[in-house]
Formats: sequence, C-alpha cells, structure tokens
Amino acid sequence: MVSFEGKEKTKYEKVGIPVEMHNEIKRIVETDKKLGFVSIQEFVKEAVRKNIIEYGKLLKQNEKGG
Amino acid sequence: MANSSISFEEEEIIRSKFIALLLSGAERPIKTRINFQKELFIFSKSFPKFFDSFDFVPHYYGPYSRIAEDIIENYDDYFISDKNGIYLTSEGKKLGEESIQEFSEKNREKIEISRNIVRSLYDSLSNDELMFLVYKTYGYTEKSEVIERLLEKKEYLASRLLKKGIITEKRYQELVAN
Repeated sequence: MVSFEGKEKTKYEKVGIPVEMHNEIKRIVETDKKLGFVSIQEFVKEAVRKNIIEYGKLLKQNEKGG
Repeated sequence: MANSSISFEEEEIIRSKFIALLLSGAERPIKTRINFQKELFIFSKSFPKFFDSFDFVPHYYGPYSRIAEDIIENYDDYFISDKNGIYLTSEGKKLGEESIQEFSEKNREKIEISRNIVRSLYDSLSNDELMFLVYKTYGYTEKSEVIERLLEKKEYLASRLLKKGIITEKRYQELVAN
C-alpha cells in the first residue's frame, strides 16, 4: 500500500491526438455547455480516466472468472 | 520520460483518503456540491501534493475538480451524495480515521487543524458566500458564469461573511473595494 504521507507531486506527460479528434472535442466543449467541460484538456483527461477505471473493472472480472 | 512511483489505483486511494479526511471533519454532511468543491479546494491548498492531485480548473462556479466529483460518484463504498449533501458511509468513516493515523504526529496536527477550520468555517456559508470568498481570494474567474452577479452584491455578501465571523473588518474592506 502506498504511503499517504509519502505521496509525491503529480507528474505530467504530453500525448498527441489526431487533429480531427481535437476539433470534434473543441466543438463539443464549446457548444454543449451542459456537459460541464471547460477545456479540451479536461474532456480528454475525463475520457482517459473513465477508460482506465473501466479497464480495471474488466480486469478484476476476468481474474474472478479465472 | 517522467516516472511516477505510484500507480493510478494507488493515486485514487490517496485522493479518496484525502476526501474522507475532509468529510470526517464534522458529523454533518457538506450540504452542496459547490460547498464540497470549494471546501476541498481550500483544504487541499494547504497541502500542495494533494492539491495537485485533484487537478482543479477554473469552472462555471469557480475552482472545480472533476476527479473529486468522479470519486464521490463512483466510490459508493465510502461516499454518499444525496439530498442531505455529501457524507461518508461507515466504511468511509473508517477510511478517514485510518488516513489520519498515516501522518506523523506533527503533520497529523496540521491536517486536523486545517480540516476542522475548513469545516467549521465554511459549512455554514451559502453557495454564493463561499464562491464570492473563493473568487476574491484565489481567482479562478476565467470561466465563471456567476462572478458578475456575485460582484453586483459584494457589499451584501461581504457583510454576511463579516457577520458570520468568517472575515475581519479589514478583509471586509478588501472584499468590497474595487
């Protein structure tokens, strides 16, 4: 288990996405305010975060299934 | 390439623990999502490593962490969000108690004092009072949909904060100044 107090500062890495995808995200962020995204970066991080969590769940299910 | 010594899952546990620490600072729930976001923002501001982990951005109602929102929604073993507000399950209470024990004595005292100040001072504020105070103290106004409305009634909001003992007379003067 990671030490709560020993936590290090969060680090960042850059990744690229296709321009078309970037433009579509920009359109969504700018036109659909009720989704609550204020930036492209926020949208992308949320999408990746959801996928990681979903992947983790799948992995656990598979482990249980043997 | 930057390497992180902890995994995503471990980082999630740390974030959950930090939220549990805040929520265990009082017996009552934090009554609204806006209050929760602002209190977490202020609480984590004193602890840069944790603050950084929540990735607060300027949002429609001031600083906002989507990660914190997700954690409250997704980890229902620990957290409840309903018409009463945001609060801990019995497992969440255990998590909060365990978390505080992980700190050294010196840091434990610091974190308990900060948490208790945040909960005792800011739980009693309305959304408008808290948003106004946070905007005037920390900024994060870029995407705000409410800042103009709040500034229009700054005298009223600042006087409410003064009356509730949240700010000093000097701070009142600063808040109402242009």
